[in-house]
Amino acid sequence: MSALTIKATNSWLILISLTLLSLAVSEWVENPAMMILFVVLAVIIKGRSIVDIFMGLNTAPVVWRRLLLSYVIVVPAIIGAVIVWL
Amino acid sequence: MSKEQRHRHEKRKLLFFWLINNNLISGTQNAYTSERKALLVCNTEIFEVLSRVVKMVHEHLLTNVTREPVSEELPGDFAMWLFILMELTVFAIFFISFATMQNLYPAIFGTGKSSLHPVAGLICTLALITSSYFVALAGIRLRQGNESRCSLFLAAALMAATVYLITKFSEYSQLIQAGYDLSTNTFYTLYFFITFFHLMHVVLGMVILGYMLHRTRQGAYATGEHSGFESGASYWHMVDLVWIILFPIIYVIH
Repeated sequence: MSALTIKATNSWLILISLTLLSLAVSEWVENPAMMILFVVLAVIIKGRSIVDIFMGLNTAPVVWRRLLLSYVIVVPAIIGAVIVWL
Repeated sequence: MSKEQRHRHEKRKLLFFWLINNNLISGTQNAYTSERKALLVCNTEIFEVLSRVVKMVHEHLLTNVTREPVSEELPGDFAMWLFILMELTVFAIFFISFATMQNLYPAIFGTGKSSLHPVAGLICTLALITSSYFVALAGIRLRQGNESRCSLFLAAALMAATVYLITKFSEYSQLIQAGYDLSTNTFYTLYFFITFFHLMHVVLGMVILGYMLHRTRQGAYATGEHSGFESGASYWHMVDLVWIILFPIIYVIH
């Protein structure tokens, strides 16, 4: 198994685990702020995994990688902030 | 832990308390009550656990997603990346609008979300993540010159995408049979509009994947020119990325 395949498989496992964990946290954690904080963090990690590993922007020009990474950080953070504080 | 690290840790801790206290006890204007003290002790423990989790994730990302030598070019066509940016912007506006409306009409959104089946959302998510993984593997095999394996992974990606389509249509069918449609209320208008808009992207992505599969079988990528393949794969990963954000907004956060 090549190094790239191992990286892609690890990313896939992280994505699956975080998806299941987010759903479990939404059922078990009663504090809405904590639940949203966890879900937003999970989305950011998942987004980073897709951008860097699946899309292959890990080796792309820095501007494009930063652009996509800022999207997966800023958009979930705004959504979380809007739901909790607006 | 160095002085600077300790300072940063304390700053994060203060910010965390501020966030939590503003939410948990915003209605409690009393001076220091025993409940408030207990809550702060509880928050300290939660903060310590959360910092450990964040530290572990950060270390994991640093060790596993280290930057490799930067290439001069983007994977795929430049025009496709502009298109991806445009699509992501449109979806971002939808997501923020949905979150804003949820805040304005919490009762309507609460009732609406309880009518959805989280398992359907979970199946859609797992199907799209797996499909994206197969497309990534297909790209790796193509770069290694193994076109037969590349075709196999593309076909598997299409099958996983079909699972998403079947689940989504069955969910729509159940909701429509239960009497919900676009005009029921603000929640269903946004729900049907955003998810159907995303579904249209999945269908377009499947057409692109089908074309990529056809071209791979024809041996069109044997020359080493993979730009078209990478453009299609990037589009498909964008569809997955959008769903990764859409899933918690609609199914998880309640």
